[in-house]
Amino acid sequence: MLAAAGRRTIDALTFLGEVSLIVARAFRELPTFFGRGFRPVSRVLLKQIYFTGVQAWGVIVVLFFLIGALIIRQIISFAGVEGAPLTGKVLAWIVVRELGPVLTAVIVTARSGTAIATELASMRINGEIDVLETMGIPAARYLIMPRVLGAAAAVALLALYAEVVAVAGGFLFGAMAWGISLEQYNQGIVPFLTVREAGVSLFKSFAFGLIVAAVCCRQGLSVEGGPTQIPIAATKGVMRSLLLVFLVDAIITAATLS
Amino acid sequence: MEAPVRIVDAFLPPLLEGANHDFAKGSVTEVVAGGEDACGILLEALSGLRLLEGGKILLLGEDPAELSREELCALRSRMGVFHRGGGLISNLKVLENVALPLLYHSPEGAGAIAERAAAALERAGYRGNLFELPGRLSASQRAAAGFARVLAADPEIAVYDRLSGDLHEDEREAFLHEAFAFHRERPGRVTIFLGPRAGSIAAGGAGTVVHLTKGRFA
Repeated sequence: MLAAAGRRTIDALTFLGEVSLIVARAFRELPTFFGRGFRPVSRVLLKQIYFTGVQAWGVIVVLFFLIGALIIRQIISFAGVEGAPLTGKVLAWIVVRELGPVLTAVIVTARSGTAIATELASMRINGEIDVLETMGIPAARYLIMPRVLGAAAAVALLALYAEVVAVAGGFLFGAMAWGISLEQYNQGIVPFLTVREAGVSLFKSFAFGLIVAAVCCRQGLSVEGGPTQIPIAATKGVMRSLLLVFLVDAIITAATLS
Repeated sequence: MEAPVRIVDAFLPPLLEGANHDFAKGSVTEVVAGGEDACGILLEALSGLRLLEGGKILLLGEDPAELSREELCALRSRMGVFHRGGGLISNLKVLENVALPLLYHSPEGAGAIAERAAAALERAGYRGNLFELPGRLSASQRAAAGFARVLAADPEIAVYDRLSGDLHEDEREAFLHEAFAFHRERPGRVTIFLGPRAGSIAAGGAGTVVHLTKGRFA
C-alpha cells in the first residue's frame, strides 16, 4: 500500500513537472513569436483566442447573467430590499473573487480543453507532429505556445467579461424586481472593487487558462497507441485540469485573502 | 565534392548496423529497406527525428545531432519529405497544408505563396477542392497534396517515403514521372525513394537501387 501511494505521488509530481514544463516552453517561445514562422503561429494563436474566447461568449453571457440574478434573489431573500447595498457587495465579492475565474475556467475546460486534448492526441497518433518537425516546424512553437498563451489570454478576457455581465445582470434583475437603484447598488460594489481585487481576479483567470491549456496539451501529446486513446486523453485532460484549477484556486485564495 | 546526404558508420539496430552510403549530388536512389517499419525508421533517421546510437548521418554537410533547434529547423527547411499517405495536417485545408512550410520559412508574401501552392497542387495532379480538409480526401488526393508540398518547397534533398504505396498503377506512373521531372529541374538535387520492396521506382528514370540488408547498404 505504501509502495502504491509512493508510486501515485511520483506520478502526480511527474505530471505536475510536465505541465510546468509545457507552460515554461510556451513562455520560452514567446520572444521568438515575431521571428521565423510568425504568420502560421499567429494564425494558430488567433484561432485559439477566437475559439476559446469569442465562441464561448454566448454561453458566458447567459450563464453569468443568470448567476447575477440568482445571487441577487438569494441575498434579497434573507436581507430584504433594505439590504440593497449588500446585494452589490456580496455579488461582486462572490463573482469577482471566485465564480468569475473558476466558472469561466470550467466552461473553457469543457469546450476548449477537450478540443485541445483531442486535436493534439489525434495529431500525435496520425504522426502529424513528426510531419511538422520534418518540415522544420517545432511543435513547441507551432502547437503548444499559441494554444497555451491564446487560451490563457482568452480565459482572462472571458472572466472579466463574465464578471461585468454578472454584476450588470444582477443590477438589472434587482432594479426590475425590487426597484433597487443604481446608487444603492453601487454603495456595495464601489468600495469593494479595488485594483487589487480586480488584479487578483485577472491573475487567477490567466493562471487557470494556462493550467487548462497546458494540462490538455500534455494529455494530448502523451497519447500512445491507437485512436481509442483519444477520448481517454480528452477525459483525463478535463478531469486533471479541473482538479488543478480548484487546487490552484485554493492556494491563490489562501495567499491573497488577508 | 562531398555528397549532400552521407550515412557514415550508422548504428541504429536492427535497421542500421555500421551502414555506409553516400547519396551523391544530383543522384536518384531507391532504397529498398526491407519492410514497412524499416522505411519509417529510416525516414526518421534521415530527417533527424531519431538519433543514431553510433555513427552519423550528414545532411548538406551538417550532422543533425549536433545542431541547435533553430539550425535543425533551417536545415529541415531545405529538405522536402513526402510522408506515406501524404502526411497532411488534419486541421489544415489542402492549400494551407501545402503552403504551411513556405509560410513558416519563407519571407515571400502570403498571396505569392498561395499561388505557388495552388500551382504545385495542380502540377501534382490534385483535382479537388483546395479548401477541403484532409479527412474528406481520397488516398490519391492526399498523396497528391503531400507531393505538392514537396514540389512547392523546391528542396535540395527530396525524400519520398513509399510514394506509390496506396496508388493505382496509372497514378503511380504519373507521380513518378513528375517526381523525376522535378528532380531534374534543380541541379544537384538529391532524390531518395524509400520503399519496402524492390520496385521500379528508380528503374523508371535513371537511378540506383540500394538494398538495406542486415543493417548495411548493398
